[in-house]
Amino acid sequence: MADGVKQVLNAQANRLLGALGYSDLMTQETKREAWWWLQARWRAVSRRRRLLAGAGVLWTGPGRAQLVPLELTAAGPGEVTIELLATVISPGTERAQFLRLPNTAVEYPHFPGYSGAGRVFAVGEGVEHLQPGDLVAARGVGHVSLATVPASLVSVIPPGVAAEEAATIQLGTIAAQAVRRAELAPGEPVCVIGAGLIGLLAQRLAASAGAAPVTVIAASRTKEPVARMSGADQFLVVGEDDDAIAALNAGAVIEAAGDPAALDVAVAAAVDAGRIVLLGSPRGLTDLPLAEIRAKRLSLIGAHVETLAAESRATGEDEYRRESKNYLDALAGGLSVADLVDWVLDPREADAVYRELAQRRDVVGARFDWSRLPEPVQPARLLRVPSLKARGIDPGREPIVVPRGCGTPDRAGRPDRPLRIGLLGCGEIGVTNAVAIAATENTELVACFDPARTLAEELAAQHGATAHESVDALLASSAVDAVLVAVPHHLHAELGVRAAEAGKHVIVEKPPANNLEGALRLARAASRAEVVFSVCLPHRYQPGALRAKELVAAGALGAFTGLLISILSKKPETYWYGGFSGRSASDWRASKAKAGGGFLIMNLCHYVDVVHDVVGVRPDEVTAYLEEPAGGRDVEDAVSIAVRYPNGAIGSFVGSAALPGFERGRTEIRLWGRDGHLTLEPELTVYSGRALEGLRTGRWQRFEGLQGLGEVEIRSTYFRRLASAISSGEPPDVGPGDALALQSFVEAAYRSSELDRPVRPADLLDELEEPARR
Amino acid sequence: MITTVAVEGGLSLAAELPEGSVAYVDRDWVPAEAGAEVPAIVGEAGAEDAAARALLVVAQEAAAAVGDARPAEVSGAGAVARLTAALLAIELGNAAQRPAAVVEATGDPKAIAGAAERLADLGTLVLAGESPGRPVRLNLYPDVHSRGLRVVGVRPATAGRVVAIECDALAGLPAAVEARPGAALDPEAVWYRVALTTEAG
Repeated sequence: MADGVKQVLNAQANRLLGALGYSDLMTQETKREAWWWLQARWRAVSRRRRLLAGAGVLWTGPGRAQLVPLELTAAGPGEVTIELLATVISPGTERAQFLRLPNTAVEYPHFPGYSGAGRVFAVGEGVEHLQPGDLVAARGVGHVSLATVPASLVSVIPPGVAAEEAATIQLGTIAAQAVRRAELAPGEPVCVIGAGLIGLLAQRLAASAGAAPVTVIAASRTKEPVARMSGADQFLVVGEDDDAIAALNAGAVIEAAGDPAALDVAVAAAVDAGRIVLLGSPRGLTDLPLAEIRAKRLSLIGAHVETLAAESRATGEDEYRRESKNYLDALAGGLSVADLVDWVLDPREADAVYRELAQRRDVVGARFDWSRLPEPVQPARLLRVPSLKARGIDPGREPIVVPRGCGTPDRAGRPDRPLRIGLLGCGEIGVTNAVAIAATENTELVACFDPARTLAEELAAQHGATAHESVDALLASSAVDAVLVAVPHHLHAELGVRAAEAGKHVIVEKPPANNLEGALRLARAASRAEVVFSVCLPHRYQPGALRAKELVAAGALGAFTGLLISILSKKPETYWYGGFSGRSASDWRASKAKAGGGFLIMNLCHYVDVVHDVVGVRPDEVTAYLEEPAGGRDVEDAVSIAVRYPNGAIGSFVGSAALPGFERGRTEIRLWGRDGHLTLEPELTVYSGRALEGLRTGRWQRFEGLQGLGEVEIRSTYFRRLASAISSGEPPDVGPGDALALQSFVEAAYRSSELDRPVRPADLLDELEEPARR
Repeated sequence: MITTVAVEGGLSLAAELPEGSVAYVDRDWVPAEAGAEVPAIVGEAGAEDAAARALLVVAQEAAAAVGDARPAEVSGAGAVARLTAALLAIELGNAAQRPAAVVEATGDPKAIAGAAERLADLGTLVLAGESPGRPVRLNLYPDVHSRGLRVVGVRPATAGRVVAIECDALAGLPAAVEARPGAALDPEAVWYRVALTTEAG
């Protein structure tokens, strides 16, 4: 009946939250929050206890971890509340539980962990041996910042023992009871199978009990250094050292690997009438080597820590407590274990931590450092209303206000006099650039040229510049420091080279040229003339892109693993005859020979540059497909590109300028890595498993103060920083390397679509540079 | 080599033995199915006393492994089981309470798993039975590891040791019953004497 009511209530809650637009995950979190809220208050009121708030690592489901807020009651009779400083991860056990391996029955949600150390926060009635402020080690505590536990599980840390070492108390107790069951005699050879945390603790305890020599057997040599540091006399590997293992004649073998196959190894390593202590929890069925066990008269001894409870029942003593005390005494006596748990973790990164733990087999031990939380313990308000926002540890779910200075370029640049720019090409983009130059404090438009003289004169008049009659005249002007080439693509290289040879810095509207050969020619000419060569790629200066670059550099994504760009739009037919504005009538955009291509080189290349600037790597292989040109043009309307990066990451670029109904366009840019994920368009949002300054870990978040800028504003930023770089003699943000990388990417995509196979951009550059080297 | 053969009324033993030799088989060593290999103590004619002593050694080791643990059980109905029960001064069969020790003398995988389940926490399981060709597969986590059981192997009687041990328990062991070719084994027997070769008799 009770189950039936629960099911009905559950279904109603799901329906209600679903109607409010909650996802399954949000619904799950909200119900959990509400239930916990109720439970905590019921306990506080019914037991008349103070309510406290902290945080804890929760496995919300198999393979999912999260730091969540917790509310708990302060210590009651016989209890102690501890503010944890460190809790220790036992990688073998927790990895198995996290991955739901056999013999690891875990019900979700589940609070992992069972060993920690901290400071007594409060003691309940009847607890005589502890005072607030005492440093204590506690068995049975999860990975939490605050815990209320029975005082019988808590031991005062002996003087001279560090909290992070004492935090291994439960693991040490587990290992110690196994070593005790091995009944080691001084000078007796002992062997430990498994070089995990428990195994190495057992090895150190066996050595300190006088057993010798001590051999560690493992599946690989990964952990040999730490085992040797632990004082192992021998380190043997199964499959490599089988003869040596069979010759060990160990009086006792402590099997700490938990691998069913390890029993065969243990039997081989043991001497006649030897003891095999089963310390590791066997994962799965074991084929018992019965004949060998009988022939050698071996004893297999189960040594799960819970057997201490059975021993306590038999002796009437708290055997658990006695074993724990023995372990702490061993630490006080010089047993060192700090190096076994020296991977220090931030609890906010729990999801990333457990995922890494699931993938790695070389981790011996690790510990959560709870002092890293800004507020590990807080008072809780009894009258607080439960949050139904599915918030997890994220208290506000409000956009993050970007601190001043983030998402903005830092190079101010105030040269003695402005960079004087001459503009070649006064069409559509020429006008935008002229306005941007005029709006920039350290640049000045001083000269213009366009074959359509009226366009040049009009623009010159607007900005107080001189309209020249020819390219040569503009290039000959001593009033011009830099030339901005904003003409049809096929003229970029020719005019850029002439400008460089005239001693002018060269700025080219994107793309660098209509092909890679032209871009390379331009770069070489600028290098020979020792002038700056830069390409106007201003989308890098969108505040969202700048902030994303900062976050990626800070490690928000972890190792970059993939990206997705989708730029979908519908260009009007008039575009092909005079651009969007129609200011300069020409059909060069529809010509492959002149433009170099269609949507990719004209539009998508902006975003190719942006994402590669953000992630800091460029693809080493490109595969592309182009939509067949239409409308009498010979350039593509749509493109689909798959790329691979040197680190194994992958990317997908999709773009179209001919999507019916998409006149306003729609852009999506998504980047991800091992630890995080961000969207750059339509707005910057970030999810990171890493605990970084200014980010909320394990939550999607938006930003406040990063509004997108208009074309003129981002171009003005570009010109300001370029002028500043030229003035100070520093390399520009977008230099020849970026230009050639972008152009070779574009050319590789076009070449791939022609050859119907992947093309490496670097090979294309090599092909062109090879003749020059010869 | 001795194998089981299905005959009317049960199982018989077919043996290929060296000229003039005799084999002794504990009743618990005979698998329930036909065509199965049967372990045996092989000796010269008139070696029954030596064979009985070999079985006694197994029982003595098993009883030593049990020590003072009580209640104790012996699982089986053959010679080793009877001798062990005699040494422990207990009756054959299951104890009324969960036993602190079980001597498993049949070698039957199911019986071994059952004995592990039956044992009290921290109990001792003594493996004194023969299981040739019968894999013993256990989930050691619930059966041994988490309950702190101790599993002790006792060296088999077929290992060929000859140890002279005087013991009253031996006097209570009935004589081995002849296993005749083609005839069903005597179900009441404790152990068998096999002195025949296959087919040729």
